[in-house]
Amino acid sequence: MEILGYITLTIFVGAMVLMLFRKLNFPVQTVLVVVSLICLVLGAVFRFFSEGWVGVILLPNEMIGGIILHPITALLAGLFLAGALTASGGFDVLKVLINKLQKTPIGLAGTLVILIQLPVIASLPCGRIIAAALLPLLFAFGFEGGMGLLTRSQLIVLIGAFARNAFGSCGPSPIGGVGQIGEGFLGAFFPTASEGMLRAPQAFSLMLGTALTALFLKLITMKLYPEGVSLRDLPEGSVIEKKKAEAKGSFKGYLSLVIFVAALLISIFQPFGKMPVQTILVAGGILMLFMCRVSIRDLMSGIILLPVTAMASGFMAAGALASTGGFEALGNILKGFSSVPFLGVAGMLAIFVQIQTILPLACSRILTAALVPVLYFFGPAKFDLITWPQLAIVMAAYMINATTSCGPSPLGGGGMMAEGTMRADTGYIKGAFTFSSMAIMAPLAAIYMKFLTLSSFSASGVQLGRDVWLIIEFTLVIFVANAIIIKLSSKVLSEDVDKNWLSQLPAFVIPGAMGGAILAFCLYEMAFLRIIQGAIGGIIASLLIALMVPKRLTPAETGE
Amino acid sequence: MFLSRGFRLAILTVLAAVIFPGTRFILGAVLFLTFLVKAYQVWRKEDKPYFFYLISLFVFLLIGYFYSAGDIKRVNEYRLTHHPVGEIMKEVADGTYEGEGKGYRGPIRVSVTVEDHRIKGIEILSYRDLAAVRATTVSELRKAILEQGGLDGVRMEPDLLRGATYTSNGFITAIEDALVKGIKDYPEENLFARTFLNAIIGVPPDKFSINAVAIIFAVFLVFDYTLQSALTKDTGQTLTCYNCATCVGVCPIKMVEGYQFPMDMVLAARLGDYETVERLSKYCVGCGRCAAKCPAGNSGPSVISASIRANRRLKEASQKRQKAA
Repeated sequence: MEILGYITLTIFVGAMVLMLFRKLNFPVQTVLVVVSLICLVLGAVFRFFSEGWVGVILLPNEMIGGIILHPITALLAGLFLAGALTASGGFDVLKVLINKLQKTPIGLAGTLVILIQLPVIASLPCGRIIAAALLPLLFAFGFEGGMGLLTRSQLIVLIGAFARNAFGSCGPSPIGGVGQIGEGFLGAFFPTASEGMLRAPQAFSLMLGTALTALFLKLITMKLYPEGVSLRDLPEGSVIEKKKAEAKGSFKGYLSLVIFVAALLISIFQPFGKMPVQTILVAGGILMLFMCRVSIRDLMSGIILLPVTAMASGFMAAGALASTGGFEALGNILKGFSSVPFLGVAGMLAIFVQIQTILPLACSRILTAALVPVLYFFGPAKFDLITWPQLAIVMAAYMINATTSCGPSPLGGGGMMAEGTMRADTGYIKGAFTFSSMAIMAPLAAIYMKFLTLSSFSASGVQLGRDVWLIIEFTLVIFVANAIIIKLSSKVLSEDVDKNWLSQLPAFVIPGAMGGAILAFCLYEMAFLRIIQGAIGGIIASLLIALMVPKRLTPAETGE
Repeated sequence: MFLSRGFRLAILTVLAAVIFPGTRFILGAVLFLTFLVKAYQVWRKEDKPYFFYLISLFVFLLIGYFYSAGDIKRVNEYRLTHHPVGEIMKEVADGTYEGEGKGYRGPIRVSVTVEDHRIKGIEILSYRDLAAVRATTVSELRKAILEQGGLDGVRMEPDLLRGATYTSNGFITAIEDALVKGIKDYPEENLFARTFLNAIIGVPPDKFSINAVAIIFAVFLVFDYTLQSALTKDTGQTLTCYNCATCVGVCPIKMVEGYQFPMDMVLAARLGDYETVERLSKYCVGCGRCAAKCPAGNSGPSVISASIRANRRLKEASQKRQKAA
């Protein structure tokens, strides 16, 4: 039976890699369902010969048992509420508020910063919702959009940073976010994990990761692909009559925004006693339906199908792997990696947390559904490689990396919305997006979990002053070091595209090593060997990530 | 050509109400109110009397409810004073009676023998919980009841109920159900009241059924959302749209009438909003760049042609219906 696990795992990973390299041109859901069925048939054949019919009959049940309904239904309810918000003009009101913000002392710069961080503030269950609503507004800030407030390069940075923030905001979302899958598993040890144990580490690292994405886009991406964007700047010497953004907020819009915020707050703080988040969200949606007079069709136009189907098919594939021993095989392989002297457990985990950035798929939920159980097995539940608190630290690092992976995905990932808005070709933002996930978000999430979240979710209590000070210190070190690396790397870039691509490698490898070492430090504190092992794991992961960054974009768009 | 959205949702709602008794009352009320609003609109526009039929049905349901509730109240009041424990056991005539209770995994059926107003024998006829609870749970309970010769104090024994509350309660309920059959003139709800309440209310709604209804509602909408394009010829490809807007990036048109082009048009086709697709189609230059770039292989022009065909079929069907009317 053990061989079956290795076979089904090879089929699954093979299909994912083939999809990533566009050798398998089918929608991701189709591929996952087919892979699940193939695994199931193989499992049935193996079981028939080893256990007889009884084993075969149990197989479908075991596969369906892998489907966790809560995140799927919470996501549905979240999309339902967001759909109602979109249909009733709630996002138009947001645009009005943003326009008003510009007139306050924070000015345009402050407004843009708030705008960029808006996705993580709203924390919707899928970043595509807010991106679809607000990306056209961001485009309007440029010359082609009519407002002419920003130059071409400023607009690229603005759109890129906003998208980085949006396509990761599904992680800390309390209304059907991806992080809830991890919180569910951590609940086996931390009784209150489902109240948002992974939320703060993800939101914190996403916020800072967004800033570094902007820096990377400005200093490296624009030099790496100088002709990659067809956005135009205001012609020299000409003057544009600056228009104001055409956004009008209706009473319905304001009302829906108030209901939305109320539903969000009730979901998080549960002031009326314990209630499933789905009920609150659907009730909020229905309230909008009646009070804002939105039709069911308007509401459904706000629903985005991809995350739902991706999550369902991801769970199905996970169930198929679990029932045929695929997870055990993966666990054994990774456990084998941990016995390699220069890697150890720390090095193996440093690679594991970066898996989804190495293999970015259209929706992070696909691999998360399949890989979180494997990560759970590393803990005391099965392999006992790490303790429960250590599992929480790895989970935080893994989860932020996973949830941000739809951003750089060339398979219809959310980042393609940004590339479309900035008129760039596919792959333009991949370097910046993967860099920030790998170099800053994963280590920062681990640090936050280690020094603040863990103490507040365990019996030991919080020493707020000490914890916050430690986090500030580490954040400064990580942030400044990465910013310096980006700056230095940008200095060596030249006109030669091929050379540039190689020149950017150190910009990935050094932060990769640093990220791995920080993860190891969070897990084992001052164990020198473990830190070195973590750094080596980080280097391997960062090399794989850097090599997946496109050398050049398609000739048609670059004008070659 | 295909069933309308309203009809599909109504069928799904009825199906859910039949399958899940806990949601029956809420879903029934939602369905009834929806029909009532529709019927009112039809009455105002076309002067058709469906609205009054529904009002009559509502009055019938109201009368039926109060009648059934009154009957249940009468029976319950009697049962409260004639629980087969203590002195009331003397009213149970000697004999063997069968009773049923609800266990964790299904009904528990027992046969109880009464001699000299004491329980002398308990035979378990059906016990599906055996797979889920310790085999000793019910045998210990049975032993205790036989030793006492009645149910007095049994419910207060915590060690007997520990870990298998549903099974223990179901077993005792089954014995009670058997014993009351031995009480002369012990009342039962009449057939109408039982059928009516079971069909209309099912299990009385509680917070769990409200949560279930919320989830069912969201699931239905998405299910119907996917069904629309699956049922309409050639528009199935819209289901695979990732909302990634790659097509918008390469489209020479990009934005019309506030819609991201062609992505929003594809999504409108998915919703079955073929009028919007037909209206927006005039902006499409048919260059096919969207099809070349789409990671799911969707093509704006082919969605347009499929939607226009679907729209025509819909209009033809509507005209036929009007002529027939």
